[in-house]
Amino acid sequence: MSISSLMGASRVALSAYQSAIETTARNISNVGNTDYVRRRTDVGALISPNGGLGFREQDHIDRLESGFIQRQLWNKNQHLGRHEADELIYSQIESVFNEPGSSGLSSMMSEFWNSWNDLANDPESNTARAMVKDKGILLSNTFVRLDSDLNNMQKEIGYDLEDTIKEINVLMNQIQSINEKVSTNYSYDLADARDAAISRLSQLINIDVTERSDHIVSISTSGNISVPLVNTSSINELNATIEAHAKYNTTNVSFSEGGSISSITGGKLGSLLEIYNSSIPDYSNEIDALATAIGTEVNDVHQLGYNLENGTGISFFDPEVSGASSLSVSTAIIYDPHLIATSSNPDESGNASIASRIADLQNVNLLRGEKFSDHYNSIVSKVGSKVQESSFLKDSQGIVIDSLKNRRDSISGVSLDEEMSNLVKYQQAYQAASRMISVADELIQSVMALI
Amino acid sequence: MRITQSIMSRNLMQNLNTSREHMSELQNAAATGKTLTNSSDDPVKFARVARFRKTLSQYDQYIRNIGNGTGYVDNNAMVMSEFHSLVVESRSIAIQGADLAQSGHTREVLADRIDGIIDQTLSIANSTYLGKSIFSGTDTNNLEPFDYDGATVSYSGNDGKVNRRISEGLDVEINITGADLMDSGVFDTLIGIRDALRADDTATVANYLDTLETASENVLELESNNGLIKSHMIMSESRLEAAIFNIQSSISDTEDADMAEVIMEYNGEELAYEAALQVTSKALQLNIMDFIR
Repeated sequence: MSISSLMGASRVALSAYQSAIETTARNISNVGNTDYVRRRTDVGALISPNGGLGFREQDHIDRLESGFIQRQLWNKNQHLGRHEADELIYSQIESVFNEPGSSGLSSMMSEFWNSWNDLANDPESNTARAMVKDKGILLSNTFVRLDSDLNNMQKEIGYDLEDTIKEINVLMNQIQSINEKVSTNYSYDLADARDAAISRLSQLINIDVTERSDHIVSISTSGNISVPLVNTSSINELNATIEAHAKYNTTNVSFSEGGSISSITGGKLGSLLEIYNSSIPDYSNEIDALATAIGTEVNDVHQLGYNLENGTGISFFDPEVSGASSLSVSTAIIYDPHLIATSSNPDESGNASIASRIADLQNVNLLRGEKFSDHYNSIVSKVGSKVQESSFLKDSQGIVIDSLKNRRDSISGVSLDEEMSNLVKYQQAYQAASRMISVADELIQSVMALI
Repeated sequence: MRITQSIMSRNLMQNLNTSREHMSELQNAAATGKTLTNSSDDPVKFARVARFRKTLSQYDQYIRNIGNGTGYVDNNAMVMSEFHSLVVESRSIAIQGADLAQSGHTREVLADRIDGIIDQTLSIANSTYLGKSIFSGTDTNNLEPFDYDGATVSYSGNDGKVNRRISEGLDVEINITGADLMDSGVFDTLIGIRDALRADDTATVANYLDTLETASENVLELESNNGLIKSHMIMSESRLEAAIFNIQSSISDTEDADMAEVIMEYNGEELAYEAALQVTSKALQLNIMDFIR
């Protein structure tokens, strides 16, 4: 072995450890970046006898991906995204109902029925009639407020839906353009950026990710119906169209390259679609059914009755009631509460049997075999169960995701302890290598001195 | 497992968050005194409490109905006892009038007294309570259901019943109708006695004594019926009050927070939180940089 080869080996070692220190520096500077996958310089390969000549640094740096765990994370993220959105929106719906509370519908209904009972105690009184009118107006206002609150909530969700779809399209575009770059010039930084975009996408919609050996990924919706979203050359853009119906709108999602809305089952988008298209219209229909039933049942009895002026056949509520928004005390009664009927016979001012019968409606199973109040409570309980369920699922999904993230980080995450000790190790190796060069230099000098 | 900085901070944050969340729940429970403030806290319990509250509001209404009805019945009792005492008074007058020792002039005076009593009974029969005619059935705005032309009393009300709802599906009839008063025979008997006294016809007056006795018994029966209704209502009221008490304690069993438990739990949670904070600050301060140069 010649002295000059000693120089050569030391030179290779110097650049190898410099590269290793560079990698360490990169790792340390990314310690707070959750999308970063740590890298490692394979010093052994660099210093091997053949590696010294014409090596490409890139070939000897590893990206410590967690593969399987990362894919599992992308798969589970859709549940977290979905339950998070569910919890947020359902608890907003819950607060629309405002139960238990003194301004909620259940206390308004109780007060309305009780006012009829008070009128039955004092059927000659116009004060009691005015009271019944006022409670009737309060009740109908509460129904109208509930209805418009649910309507507005649906509108708000509609905006959120559009934004989510926009974000999904942007992310798909990003992933696809990275795919294009990767096919010609793969780099770890591109891979990090792509994985970050996929992570974000996986919270918005249910996806399956496949990565080919040439690092190009293709993405499709996961589940029973698999619609391709991103492949090498194109993306399948989503587009939301609102379809107007008699009362509530629904949203349809179409795909530029073909696909069906039923393939969207998870992620924030899945949650928004279900609430927009089914939950809110459901609740609203139940409230409509309740308002319609109260309106028609009260009218049916009231029309049989006679008021103090022997008027009969009068509707208490507007007879055109077809839902919560159209339940209103009839204008005639608002202007003249004397029209309210209490008696089952003419000329019997003390006869309160009609008022009693109206007050009794609250105890009769008139709405799909349920009392009015029970029907309403079951709607509120349904919303409450949804909140409870989604909050529980969100928490438990969160634990699963956290433990997956921990497992991913134990492979891909940067550990400062490790990097610091590596830094010391590489620094010492670098120093030793430079010392070798000066020793070799001295050796050459001594040889030269012989001449 | 290889532990990195991000794993440590993730786990620490999660522990702190869980503690914080639980503490906030407990704080809420302590501040409101309730564990059930939203339907989502426990949908099943929520539905139960909602049903309890509905029943409570109805029972409160029944108690209000009873209070209203008792006022009416009390007034009836007062009026009927006045009515009865007039009948008793007329009986003693009739006994005097039947006495053969009395002169025709005295009978004339007695007849005038009976006339006065007839007027008084009529004014009672036409009396009102809170502006409503008491004895006119459901024709309560008919303020003079009894008409007297000096020879006969006629009734223009109806025999409708005034009801008060005192519990679900249960009404009590609280009024005494004019027809009941007419049927008691008081008016006819009094008019008959007066006419006999004026005619100085002691035998007929003596005959009327038995009729008057029957009429008096009829009035007494009406009075005691009224008393029965009152006691029925009072019994219902105390039953409702007991039920309300039970429902209220069921509601508070279901939704109220056990303060002692909440505070104990809060203390425990606070301790855990403090410990977590301390460990966190220690663990985060520990750093390899302090040990290598």
